[in-house]
Amino acid sequence: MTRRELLESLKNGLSAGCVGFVILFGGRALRRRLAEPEPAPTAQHPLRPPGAIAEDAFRAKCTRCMLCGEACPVHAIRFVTRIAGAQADVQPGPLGFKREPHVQPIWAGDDTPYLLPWKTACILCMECTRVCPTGALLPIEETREAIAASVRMGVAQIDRKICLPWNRRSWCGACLTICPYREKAITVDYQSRPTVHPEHCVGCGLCVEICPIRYKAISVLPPFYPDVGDTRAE
Amino acid sequence: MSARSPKKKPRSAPSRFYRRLTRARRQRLPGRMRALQLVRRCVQASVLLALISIPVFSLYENLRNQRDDIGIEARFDTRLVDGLLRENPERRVLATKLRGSVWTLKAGDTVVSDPLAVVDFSAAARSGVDPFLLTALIPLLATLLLGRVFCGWLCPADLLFEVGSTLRRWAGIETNVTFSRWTKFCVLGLGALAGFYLGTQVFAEIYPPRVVSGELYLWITFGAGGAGAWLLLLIVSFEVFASRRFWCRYACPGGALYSLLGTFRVLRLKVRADRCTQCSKCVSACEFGLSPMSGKIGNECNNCGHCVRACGLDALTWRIGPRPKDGFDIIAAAERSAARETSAHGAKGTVEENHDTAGQ
Repeated sequence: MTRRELLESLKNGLSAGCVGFVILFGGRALRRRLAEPEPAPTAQHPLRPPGAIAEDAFRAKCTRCMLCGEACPVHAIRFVTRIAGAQADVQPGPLGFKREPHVQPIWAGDDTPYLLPWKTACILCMECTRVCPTGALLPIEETREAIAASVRMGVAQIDRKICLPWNRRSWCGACLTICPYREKAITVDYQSRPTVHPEHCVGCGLCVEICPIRYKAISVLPPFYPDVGDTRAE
Repeated sequence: MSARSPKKKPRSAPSRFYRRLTRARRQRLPGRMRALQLVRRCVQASVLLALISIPVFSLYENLRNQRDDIGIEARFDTRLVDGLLRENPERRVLATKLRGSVWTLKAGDTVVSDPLAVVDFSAAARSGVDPFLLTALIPLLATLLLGRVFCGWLCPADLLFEVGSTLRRWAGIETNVTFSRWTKFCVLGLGALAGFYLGTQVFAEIYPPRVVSGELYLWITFGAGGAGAWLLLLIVSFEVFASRRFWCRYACPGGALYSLLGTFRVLRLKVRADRCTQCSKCVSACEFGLSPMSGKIGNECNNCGHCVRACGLDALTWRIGPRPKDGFDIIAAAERSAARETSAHGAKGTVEENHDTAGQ
């Protein structure tokens, strides 16, 4: 067998393998996709600042002026950048790094604002909603009731596998102490084991910032579900 | 020189600076135009300074509020700004008044934004009526009157490109890659279409002034930038290796928008036909590859004034007037002498009127 023949046969084999793979598995995936359509990918997004309108409208209206980031007194608002942002988004986890479920792929960075509560939590001052020139962030009054009614950045979720009280390792209650809506958004039982009530959680992430566990037993997930996510649908 | 006093003997070997000065005098450079270049450089430098100082002041306020944030403290020493703002509450308040960048500026409660931002917004949000559109009113009026004045005077990327063209001159690179000028209008139209269909703002990603401002903000605040830095590097390498102002001439959507808006601009570059010797110094001086001596530079001119400065015979000037009907911004010799006669009789500023009547 000459070298050319070898190359030819390799090429034929590879192309036949590709075609076969597509026929065997691609067709199945396609059929599955057609049978049960996946939820719209735009429903997944990073945590947006308070007052953000629905995600599609937000991406259309945000003019990337970064005024919200400059106005934020604690610089909690970061910007989805293509290279540095993707690296900054990963949260330290037990096995090296744990990618947060809302982290966007590298190509999707578009300088829109987002929050990383495990680094810096939102202090709910509503300054960013006042400076936004385009209405991507709707202005919200800085009162307890207005914020509770209209801010829904995300929903806190407790990882019971590493939470101290849930593992009977210690008495804690740090998340309950820091929560602006304590006893409503977060409650603890007689052993200080916390529970999140999503209907009251505004997603500020102060509980994530204060959590003493290094890998954060509590984390804020953006509202993926339509009934939670469209907090301020137009 | 005659200005020197006769008592002093002229030096046997005049200094380099003196020789340059006398050469400049011999060339009869219009002094006003040199002053204009100085003003332009000062404006550009102050824009760059503002783009750096706005995030620095913002970060400073943050650090004053929470001193023990070690992560940011390590990157930024507040003592740099302390000397400027500490014990000065008025200055600190003033420093927080100005926010934003050349893309969207917020001075107090007034928001001024780029016309391209408005185009981008209305394409992506698919809305023609929004209060945000009003924020572009002032730049829009300035562009209608002065043409692409933003590009030459305020664009922070233009400063970067001038660095690139200086590098190009030092390296002796002579390449001249040219495209049609309509390319950038295609970029504008296709970008607006893409924004409309994708529902996201496209120009904000590729418009160098916004990318420069955004990268400066990200580097100062978080110590890390995004892909915008690579984009800028690519564009500057175009500038160095392809042709001068490659991006501004052929790809910039903002430049395309300003060119469109400035078609009927009022500030116009005029050629005095009796002084021009067709030496084409202005053609080689023009960063945009235009030909000012032909009198037909169209709407591309960014008012940088390099051609006026390069002309040793003072044959190019700025005039305020309507767009000539034949499209040639030339002050003919006969008209000039007629204007001189009328001005000798006491009337002033009739050059343009005479030109118009001669055109009809």
